[in-house]
Amino acid sequence: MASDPLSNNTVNNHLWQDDFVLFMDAIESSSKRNPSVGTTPKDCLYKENKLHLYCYKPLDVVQKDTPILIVYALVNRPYITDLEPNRSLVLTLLKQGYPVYLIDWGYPDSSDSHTSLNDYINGYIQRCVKRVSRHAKVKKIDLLGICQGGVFSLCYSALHPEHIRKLVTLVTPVDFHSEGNILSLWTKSMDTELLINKAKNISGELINTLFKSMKPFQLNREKYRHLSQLINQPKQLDTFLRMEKWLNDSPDLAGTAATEFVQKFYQKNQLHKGSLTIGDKHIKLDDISCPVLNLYADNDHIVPPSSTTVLKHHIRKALYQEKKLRGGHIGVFTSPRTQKVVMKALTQYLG
Amino acid sequence: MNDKSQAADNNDDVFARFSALIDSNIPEEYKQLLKSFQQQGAFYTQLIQSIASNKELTSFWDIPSTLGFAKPSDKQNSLFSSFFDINGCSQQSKQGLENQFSSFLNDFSTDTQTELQSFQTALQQMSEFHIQISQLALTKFNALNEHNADAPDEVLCQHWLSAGESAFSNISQQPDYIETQRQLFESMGKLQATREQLTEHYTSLLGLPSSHEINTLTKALHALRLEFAEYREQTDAQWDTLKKQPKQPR
Repeated sequence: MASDPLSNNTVNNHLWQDDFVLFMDAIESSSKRNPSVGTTPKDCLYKENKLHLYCYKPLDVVQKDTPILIVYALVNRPYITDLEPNRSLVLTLLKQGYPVYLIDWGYPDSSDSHTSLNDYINGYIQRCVKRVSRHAKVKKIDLLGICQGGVFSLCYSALHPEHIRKLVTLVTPVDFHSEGNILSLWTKSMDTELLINKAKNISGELINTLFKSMKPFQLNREKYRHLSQLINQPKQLDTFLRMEKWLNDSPDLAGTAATEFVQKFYQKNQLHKGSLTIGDKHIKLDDISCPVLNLYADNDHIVPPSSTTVLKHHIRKALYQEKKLRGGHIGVFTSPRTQKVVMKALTQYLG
Repeated sequence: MNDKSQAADNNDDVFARFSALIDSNIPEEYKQLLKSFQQQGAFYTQLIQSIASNKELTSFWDIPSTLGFAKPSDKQNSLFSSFFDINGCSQQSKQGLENQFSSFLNDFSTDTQTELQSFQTALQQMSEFHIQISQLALTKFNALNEHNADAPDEVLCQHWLSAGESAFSNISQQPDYIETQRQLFESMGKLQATREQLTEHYTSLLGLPSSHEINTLTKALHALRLEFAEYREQTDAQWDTLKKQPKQPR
């Protein structure tokens, strides 16, 4: 439909061309700088199949006693928590003296297609929690679960309360049938077996396209319109490039766990209804006996606020706190402005 | 040199530079980004020109091309792409898919023909929804511009976005849209299942391992990995406990 602007002769087009030339210069310079992601120094504490459990190197500040284990979603990559130094949740935590650990799920392949939710929650997470406890020489640790990782953390904390001191959930859905939950509407009567590819997994590209189609005009066109905001601002361009890298870095999802997740959470809403079983264990959110801080975004199109704030009805009143943050699903922990608010809430809560 | 020829030279320079960068050894993700900006530059340039010259605008809210499905690409996910009537295949798909299946098996079954028919029906229904989205977006866009006859380009682009997202949100949450999407997935899935059955048939004729046998192997590998991980965890935990115990004098 659209003609090539490189061959159009209009006033607008000339302005655009000038910007595009500058943009090409900027891209060339940036490719030489090669802005990288996840650069905060860390050691691999444990490796199991594709999973890596990282321990971040502490900074020269007074250290807190209880470590925090970050559990990210299976969708996309966890380096979004350490995108770049001034947009790093990990680094901000380290600066406050928290010992930080992170689970990197890796890239599942066909040999992982049988990995179930039970394997993730009662297997991988359980073994990582034990590793972190032993490494930090504590009996209980703090869990920080993000999005689907928050759902896993809720399930884990309900099943293994003896290991968790405090739980933080960030942009975490609980009621998957709340108003405005587009993903739930789209998947509610879908035969999940049809999502499985030849490797018996759900392709990361499919998931990526699904997310991009939730706001098609914004996410596929509009974000590439503001050329002038990126030229002559190398830092802003580098951040944009890092975000683009992250957005397009979508691992395939292990088929068994992914279809279970769609069926049990999106289609049957079992976590909220109290009918969820993982493995052969019944998960009741009111079994969570540790304090819970629920952080959510007021402009989240993937996890609407109503989907997450219902958590207060499941957790004992004395144990539950929540905080609304300004921003969208990702912006809440990548925006330097919101990160300050997140950090203030975390330090008050975690101590 | 007159203005026109200078502009043409400039265009050539920009194009040459763009092509050189695309052919250079900069990372692939940067090339992709350059292409995205170039494509969207083209899109918005034409949008602004079409608004200025009162041309028909509905195609600017076309969902398949917005999602990048307007051009053939071997990277596209065939299953998901089918939602969006790629390359107008609602008109062309019967021939293409029939050929594809016929190459697997000459006696193309009546059942498969029926499945193909239901796939095409769903695809056509989905295309109708996409037309509805474009038309509703245009109505919303006109309403936004009603009292803003000389709106600057920036405002027009914002109105285009807001009209498009709002129209998409309205229609994509309707039960009929969701049901059509489900039917499309299901019919596509059935076609894929048929193709897999045929592949299995030929695999078996060639004496190669079947998908069932491969599945059994991956299941066993998975179980073995878990068993080993648990064993390792218990051993490491015990070792850690032993290290903590005071040494007994000999």
